[in-house]
Amino acid sequence: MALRPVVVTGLGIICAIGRDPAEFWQRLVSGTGGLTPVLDENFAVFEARHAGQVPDEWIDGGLPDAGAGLDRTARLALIAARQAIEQAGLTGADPDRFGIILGKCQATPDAAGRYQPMHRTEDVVADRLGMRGPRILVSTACAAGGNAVGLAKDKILTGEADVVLAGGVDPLLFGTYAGFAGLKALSTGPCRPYSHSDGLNLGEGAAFLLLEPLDRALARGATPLAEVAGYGLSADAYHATAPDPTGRGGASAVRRALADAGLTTDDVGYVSGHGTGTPANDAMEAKVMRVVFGERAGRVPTSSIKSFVGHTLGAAGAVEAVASVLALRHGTAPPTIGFAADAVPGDLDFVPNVARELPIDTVVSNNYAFGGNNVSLVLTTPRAAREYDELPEAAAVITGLGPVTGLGTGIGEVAEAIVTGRQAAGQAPSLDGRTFAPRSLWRHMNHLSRMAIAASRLAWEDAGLQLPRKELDDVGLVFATGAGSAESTGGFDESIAANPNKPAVLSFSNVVLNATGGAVCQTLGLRGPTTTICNGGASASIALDCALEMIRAGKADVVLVVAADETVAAPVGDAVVSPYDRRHSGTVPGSAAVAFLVESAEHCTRRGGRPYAQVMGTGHASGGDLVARVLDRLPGARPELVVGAGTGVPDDAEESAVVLAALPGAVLTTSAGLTGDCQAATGAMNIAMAALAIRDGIAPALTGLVEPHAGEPASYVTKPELPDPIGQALVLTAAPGSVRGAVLLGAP
Amino acid sequence: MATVLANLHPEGTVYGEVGDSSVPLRFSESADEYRVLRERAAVLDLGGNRLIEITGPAAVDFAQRLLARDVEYLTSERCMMSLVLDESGQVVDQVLAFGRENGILLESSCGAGTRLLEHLEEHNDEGVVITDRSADLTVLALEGPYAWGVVGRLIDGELASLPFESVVETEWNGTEIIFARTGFTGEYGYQMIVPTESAAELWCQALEHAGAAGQEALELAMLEVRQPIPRHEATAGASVIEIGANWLVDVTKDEFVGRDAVLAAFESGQGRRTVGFTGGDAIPEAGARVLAGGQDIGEVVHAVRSAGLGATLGLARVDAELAAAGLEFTVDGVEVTTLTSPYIVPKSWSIPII
Repeated sequence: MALRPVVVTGLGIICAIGRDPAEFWQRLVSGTGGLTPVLDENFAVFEARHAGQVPDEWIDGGLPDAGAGLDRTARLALIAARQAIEQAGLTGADPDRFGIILGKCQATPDAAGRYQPMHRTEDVVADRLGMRGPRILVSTACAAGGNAVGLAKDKILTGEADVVLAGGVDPLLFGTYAGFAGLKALSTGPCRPYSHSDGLNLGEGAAFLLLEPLDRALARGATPLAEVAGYGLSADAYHATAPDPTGRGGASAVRRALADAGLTTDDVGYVSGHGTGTPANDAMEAKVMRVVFGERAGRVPTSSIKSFVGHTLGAAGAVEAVASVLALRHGTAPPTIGFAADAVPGDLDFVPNVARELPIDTVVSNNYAFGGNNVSLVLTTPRAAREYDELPEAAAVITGLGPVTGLGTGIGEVAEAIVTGRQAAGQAPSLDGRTFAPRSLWRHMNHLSRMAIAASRLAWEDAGLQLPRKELDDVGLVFATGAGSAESTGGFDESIAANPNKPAVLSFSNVVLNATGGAVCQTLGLRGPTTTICNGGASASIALDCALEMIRAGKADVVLVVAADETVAAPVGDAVVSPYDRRHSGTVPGSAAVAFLVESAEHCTRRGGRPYAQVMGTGHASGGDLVARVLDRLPGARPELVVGAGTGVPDDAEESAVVLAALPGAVLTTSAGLTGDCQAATGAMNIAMAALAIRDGIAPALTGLVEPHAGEPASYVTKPELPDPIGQALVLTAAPGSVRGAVLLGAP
Repeated sequence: MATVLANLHPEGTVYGEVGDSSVPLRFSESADEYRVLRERAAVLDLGGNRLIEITGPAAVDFAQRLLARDVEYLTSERCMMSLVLDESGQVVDQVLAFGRENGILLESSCGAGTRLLEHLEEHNDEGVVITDRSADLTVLALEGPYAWGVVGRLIDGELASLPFESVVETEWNGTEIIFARTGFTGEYGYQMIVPTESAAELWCQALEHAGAAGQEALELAMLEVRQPIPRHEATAGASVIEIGANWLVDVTKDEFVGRDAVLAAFESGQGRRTVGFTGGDAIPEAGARVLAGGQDIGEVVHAVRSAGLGATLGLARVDAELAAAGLEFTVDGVEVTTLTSPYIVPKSWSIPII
């Protein structure tokens, strides 16, 4: 089956060696690196001094008009994004079909230095450049940039977008620098990947690639620069920060990417390596090369450009994807600079120090991240327009629910709490009485990972799924979180404030947003495709989308979606949250993890599983008029029940008014009245509640509702036992001001 | 029980009765075999280690109750070492537990299989299926600073860098085998659990890349890194804490056979502790008295001549407050000095896998 070819038509980049693709490429081929001592005097406390910094004047010069008031991260992203759109010559794109997928590793500060939501940078770029289509913030740490390019391709294949801007951004942050210094991972001088391998240098930057279908690009007269032939994701399921030393995870990502592209290892002409310069990474990568390419390993040139630009974390995969496209275009492999002259000549060809002209039609670009997340992209020289098949439909069902909330742990306890009308807004889940992972791991886990692992295991057990080891290698995991571990982030920040040379390194490894997803993979032994989505309260429905795409593309039969967020606010005693009620406007933050198991219907039937519900459709809207527009994404929906995104905030008014007007036969409810607002986990809880309503006929009741913003009390679920069977239930999720999602579930 | 490889071993091989098994103590000279293990790569016939499979719906619950460490989530790609205790906290055996898709596989220590099997069967309240697999499966091991290279030549170089206590099912010579990264001596160590009918072929192929080492060389190398050898150290009446095998129990588990006794021994603070010592040329017998300033403070547990140290090396069980490194004691009239472990530095610690 040949799917619709997707091509890159525009590139944008700003990093230590260039403020646009031309300058970037000129520096790469001339071997002129950009690692310099950090200018910021605060960094003088560290022994390691070099990093890949973007000169301020490049940023000021790149945004003469629109940069005022924006933080550095947004400015970097906006510069690169504009370049990509400009090079593609894109004008007049339908905003609703113009998407953005951004990879980012760190929560970045606003112009005043305060943390802002992970997806804020993406919102700024999208809103300024007129994108109202798919909007995903992917945060698989140092693999995020490459992952974004793959997810962008998916959005085109599903038909949700005509054009998607995919890329990554990360600035150089003091705390992150301290964390890597604390891990003893920084090189004291410019890094020397694959030869001396004594550590990495951090860098900053942004890079974007504009993706669109080949046929559309040709029709509008654009020049395809490269085809995004395929991508592969994998989980090491090995360790929080160290790569699996056997290289299994990395090898599996390359193999999946080549399979996705319909190519073999013999087709590969050049490999853009991750090449951070740490001993663990470089040794593992050499293994990946040998494992994947076998006898041919020494004849496939592979190089790392990190000794030019430093490790730009969430941007790295996108920066290297841009370099890979340019390598294809110019028939030249950029060198690994800083390659030690006295290095023992090994069996692999690292393109030492001097760029090399060679015919390249296929590039593999690899990235490896904390949390054991791996991504490989396959980029090829564009071919002519050709016939293609649509992405096949594949029915998917939800077969296991694992809520870990203040209401209860496990679907049995939660269902009972719902029926008895228990309220637990803002109460933390209890995990007493059972460890959900080997004690040696459990002891060292933060609360978010414990909740997520408990939720995952409970969902797995609820599904009654038993898989042999070999099949676990293909089980996918999508983690959804608004802000990751507040406990670890807070603990790490405190340690840095106290002494930047004594960071809490264990917390640091858990600051990356995908750490919890990685811990779930490690604990459950899942090595299939994995990613992490950080779009606030809409994360879970976007994560479900990713799971469905994995199933449709045949990359997995079983995908675990797990959403978790936590608050460090002290638990509120008897807080009452009454969503959709004009008298009680106010929400309570909560902590929870909720997992659900998504399976292809065919797989579920084959194993004799008992599904809760079938996924009938999903849709997302970004930009403005979100409630109305997201309902438009599922025009055929006739739900009897709507589990809305209401959390007791003023936005509830609009949601209830629009929903009740558009779906007059449906009753509305939400889970946040019982649990408080648990961000991504509330989105997943709402999906779980809709699935439960369909199979078991119960739903969370809004018992305190007296004066609804919209409609009558009878328009809402006020008793947990539903009078009639539910044929369809609609779930709404929301990241206010950014993205809204809708998921339609039906009786299987 | 004799090793299935007995007919392959050279004439002149010295066998010894270890528990229920007859195992090769040395094939030629133990000193040579020791050097092979410490400097290159040794292949070991672990035919005295019994393989016992536990299956059935309650297999994990049963194993979790009978083993002193946490095996609840031991997947089929992990193994771990654990003690098996009786109700009084006495060591029944020290096992290597392999997670399996249908249960768990236990590898006994050398010669202890019969006792372990009886103990498991006596405690089988859960109605699990306990199967002695020793007739159809055999364990071979590799130990040494270059054992990883042997793995590459013998099976697959990719497996050499598996993390410690990782397990894979792989194929060797068309035969399904269980391959694990283990290690008892501080050197790179691997185990292969193979069908008995293929064991001879694997042994012969391994000998092309590694030298055979017997039980004497193995146990010496284990002692040098303070790897517990239950048949020498788990003396009657000694608690886990006296033996110094605390790391092979996990008292954070809610329940396991022997837990109360371990906790009581820990809380009482009573009893002796085990410490290594060296000194002199004579090898004291187990039970020889240990004196400090003329006072009897304990006894020798086990002693041998260490090729690594070029001197006597032993373990003494002495009063807790004297179980520290750097003290001078007298054993059989000879001055000895207590040591901190490991007593030698394995070469593998400075040799990377490439």
